[in-house]
Amino acid sequence: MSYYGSADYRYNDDLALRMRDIKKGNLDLGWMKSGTESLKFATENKKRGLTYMDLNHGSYGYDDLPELPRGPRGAAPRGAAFDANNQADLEPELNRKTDVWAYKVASFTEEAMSRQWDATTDVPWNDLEKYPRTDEIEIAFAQLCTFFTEVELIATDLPAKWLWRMNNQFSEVKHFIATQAMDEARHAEVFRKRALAGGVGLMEALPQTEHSLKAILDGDTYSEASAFMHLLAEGNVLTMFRFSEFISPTPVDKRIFQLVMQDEARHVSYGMQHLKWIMDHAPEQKEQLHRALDEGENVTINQFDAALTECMIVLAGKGTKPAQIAEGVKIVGNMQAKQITEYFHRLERAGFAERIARSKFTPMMADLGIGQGVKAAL
Amino acid sequence: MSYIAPKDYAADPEIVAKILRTVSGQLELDWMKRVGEPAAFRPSQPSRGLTLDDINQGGYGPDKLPEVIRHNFSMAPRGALLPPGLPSLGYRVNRKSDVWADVAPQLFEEAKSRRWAPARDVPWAALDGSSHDANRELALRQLATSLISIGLVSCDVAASWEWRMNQEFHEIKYLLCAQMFDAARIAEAFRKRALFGEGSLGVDSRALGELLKSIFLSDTYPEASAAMNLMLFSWVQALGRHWAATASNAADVYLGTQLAQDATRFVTYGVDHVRSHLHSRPLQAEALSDHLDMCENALVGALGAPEMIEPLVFVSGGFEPAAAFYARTADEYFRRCDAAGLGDRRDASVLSSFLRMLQGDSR
Repeated sequence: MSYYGSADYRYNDDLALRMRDIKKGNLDLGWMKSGTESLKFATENKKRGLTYMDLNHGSYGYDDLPELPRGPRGAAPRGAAFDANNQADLEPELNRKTDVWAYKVASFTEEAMSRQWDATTDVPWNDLEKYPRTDEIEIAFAQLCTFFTEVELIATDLPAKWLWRMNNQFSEVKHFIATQAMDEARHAEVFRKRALAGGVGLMEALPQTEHSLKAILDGDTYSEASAFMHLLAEGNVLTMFRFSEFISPTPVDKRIFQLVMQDEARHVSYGMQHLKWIMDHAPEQKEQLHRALDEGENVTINQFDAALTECMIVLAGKGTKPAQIAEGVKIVGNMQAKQITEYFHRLERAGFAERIARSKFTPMMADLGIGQGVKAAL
Repeated sequence: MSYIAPKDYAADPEIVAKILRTVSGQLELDWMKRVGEPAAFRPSQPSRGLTLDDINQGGYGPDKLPEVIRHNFSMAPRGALLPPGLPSLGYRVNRKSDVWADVAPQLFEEAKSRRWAPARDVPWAALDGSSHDANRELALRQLATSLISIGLVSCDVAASWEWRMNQEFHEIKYLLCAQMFDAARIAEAFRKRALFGEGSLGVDSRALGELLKSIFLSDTYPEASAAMNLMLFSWVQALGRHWAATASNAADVYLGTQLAQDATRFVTYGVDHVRSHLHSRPLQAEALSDHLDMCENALVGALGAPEMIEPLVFVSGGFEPAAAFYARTADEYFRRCDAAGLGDRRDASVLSSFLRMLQGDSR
């Protein structure tokens, strides 16, 4: 046990006297005179219900939350009365708004709460039998599902690693991160279930991918980790989800990708809006983020793994005959170029366009002769 | 950046050559031969869908997991083939008995199927017409303020352990993600409850903060789980039932019922986890009991703090009903401790002394 409270209540005269007083009807009632703001809160849009945005007023709101919320370090909710000198200090490490905040985070959280789904019942698992697949297609899809099962849990571990270090004043961000952890657990679950329902089972884990996951988890700051995970890695996965819906061998699989895509898009949007917040409020962090993304892009390049790329080629070409492989290569090549262009677009929208010239992807694309395609797409 | 890759891959001619080979259609395809245990699992009950229990079979299930994980510290999913070269992701909780509960997969399934969203599912308009007297409304807001704190820190507790757990225990990690989600929702729902209408929050309770900090800073996961799931959420569950039972409007009935329902999952996992932990490692009973001694002490501080007991007196309709609520909840908690293998804690617990104090017996 690391923490012992300030009082031993087994033999505590103060407590005994207090209970005796309360029993007699002599209440302290100090909590009734909290002095907190009393404001009028109502649902602005009845269809949406009572949202965080509806509560964004006065000392309870997030717009007026300063960059450095001095004082609160415990479990007091934002807007509650607390004594800075007499609170149980939870020793939060992330205490600057810029460390965690993102534009629109409250609406992302509300969206996450309203769009929960269930991998157990929202996917028509029994229909899989209706759609015949060749062995090689099912093997390729099982490899793709093994990859997705493997990578999705990074987005539970990484948010969990940072959530408890954040000051409770940033409750909308902490709530968003909790929804993300749940979303990603569900993603890992749905891909595991798909791999284990298809006949093949799970296939081989991918060491290069794992090194990339390790790099994400080991980020020095939350913002570095967020830029790498939300923006770069989840951005890539979002493009892959769209592509995978397109190449899915059955309507059951298409349904899976439709469900995961809406969650993933929300996570990427949070990452982009967090980066934009930093660009607008703490531009001095640019170089640090450049360095993090230098290394993030480096390990991403190493993720060009035969098993991962080839399983997508087999799925896109619908087989392993030379003509099918040629078709698959074309489609997957387009997808990979799209991953880069969409990443660059997100950097631009976050106000970090200067990153594009420095990106390790830029010379690599030129080496491969697809740099012009990327440039043209921008 | 803590992790630096061994190579600058962007300048690695091998990678460019590999990509060019693939682009020209020369695939290796040897991965297609590396197939693991075949599986074609289907829902055992179609109306329930494909559950985790349905797919937990053979090498994919948890039954064959060893007590100590020595073979996988990566994110490779359980049952996948593990090639050489997988890195360690630094997991610190690698013993099955430190985390496992057989009921966990079912609880995760339940958490998903019983989802609700405070924004839309609570009939907030019902609060407009409720006929609370002003003091009772202030009392509810004070209790809501405490529930927000409980939700915030419970979310932290689950998060602070989830990322340290080995991926071989993915069902437990899923459940902890659901706990983070549920706990955050408690904070959201009761924040909205306190502020709706002409609302306000109450005061922070130092004593409640100390209780939450005691749980948050538990040294081991079994200690954290016993303190949060078994102890704290026994009280949260009871508070949910009490909130619903004393409600005067549909919004409070709904909030209390949902709180009790969500809290029950924490309690159920806590009982099964502690029972399973002690079944495998009975010598840990003393460590857990010691920890609960300290946390129960902090719990007494929180329950006896004016910010907790006085609003309960208002909401319950007097001191006696509030004291009876405490006695009933403590009794349920002690029964659960016994069921979990911790024995009868009544005699030794500071909670019992506190209950006697409430009855006017200061022994």
